[in-house]
Amino acid sequence: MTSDRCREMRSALGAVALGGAEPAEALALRAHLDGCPECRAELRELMEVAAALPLADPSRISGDLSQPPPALVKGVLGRVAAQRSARRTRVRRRIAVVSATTTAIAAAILAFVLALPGGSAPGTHVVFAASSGVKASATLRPDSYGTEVAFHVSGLDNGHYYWLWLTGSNGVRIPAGSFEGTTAPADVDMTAAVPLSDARRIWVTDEHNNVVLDEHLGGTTS
Amino acid sequence: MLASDDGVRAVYAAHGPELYRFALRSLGDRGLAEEAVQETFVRAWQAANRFDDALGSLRTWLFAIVRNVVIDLSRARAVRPALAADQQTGDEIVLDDDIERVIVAWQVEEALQKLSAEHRDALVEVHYKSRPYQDVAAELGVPVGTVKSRVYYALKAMRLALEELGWPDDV
Repeated sequence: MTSDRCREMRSALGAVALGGAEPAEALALRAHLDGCPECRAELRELMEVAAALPLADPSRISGDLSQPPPALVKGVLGRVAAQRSARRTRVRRRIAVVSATTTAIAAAILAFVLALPGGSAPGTHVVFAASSGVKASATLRPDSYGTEVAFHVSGLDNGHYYWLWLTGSNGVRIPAGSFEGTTAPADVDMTAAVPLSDARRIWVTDEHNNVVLDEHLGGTTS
Repeated sequence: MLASDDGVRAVYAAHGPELYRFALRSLGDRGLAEEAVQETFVRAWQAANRFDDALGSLRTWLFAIVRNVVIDLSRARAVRPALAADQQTGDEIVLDDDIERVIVAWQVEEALQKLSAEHRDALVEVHYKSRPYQDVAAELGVPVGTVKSRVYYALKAMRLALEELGWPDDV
């Protein structure tokens, strides 16, 4: 409890903490501290401050806190906005909501390709087993980088991120890319660095690494 | 938190100036200090999903980021003589220790700046200029007890300011 005596001791506390107290003052304080845990704790705190004082450069202390230039906030906003839009562009590039017409054309082309004897334009069409409202299909084609995946999906959570993977015959998962989910149907074009002939599994994970979609691949082109 | 311009503005208003002062104190260059603050916000935005307010304050998190940014910028700026690989490692350890020392120095200076002029003057005269209490009291025309009491309140106010800045362990 802070008493009048504690208040009287305050000037001695500061002087003792800084190491410049007169002997009589230091002696009186010591006598008080023996019976006053509050003042003992306070002295300890002040001594920690005093111990750190030599680290500061007093020539830097003007009493004015230097303020950043007013334009800095604009710089910060601009840099963060650039990051934000870069992420959006990456997603937009991957996702194009396909109109009914182009879907129909794509379906017709696909049917034609798949109908070709021997598959002169080899591709694999996968329809995923629907799970909790998510419907998806993918067409995989070999390209010079690995496997091109034309992924068509609907029923994902808006604004959440998903990853599409292919697993090769050696069991190693290869990312085809990430994309932002939408409930509405969306087309996402991605490429995974694994040859189509070697791909054994195509699967999608969400932000928490849960597998959302999963299908096995034959490892041969159709 | 940093998902919208308003969010960024609010976080900047709360912490931008002290991040800037810390970067300026560490790097000694206004341009680099501005770059450090911008980079800190970019990294914070990129890692926003890793910020968990149950684990610590936003301030502590931002200072952990700016500390790394300052180290990166110091390294990038340093014109380093060709050294053997093992010496380079030693060099970096010193650099990281320097950053810790600069952080505490900056905290103490920031706390000193926040004192009232009376309290700060008393502390500067007595501690940094090592002047006797009697001389300071005579110069100011106040009793010796008043100077001592100002020193006490200065240390006490600094303690509170340093605790706000994350003492004892934070930052």
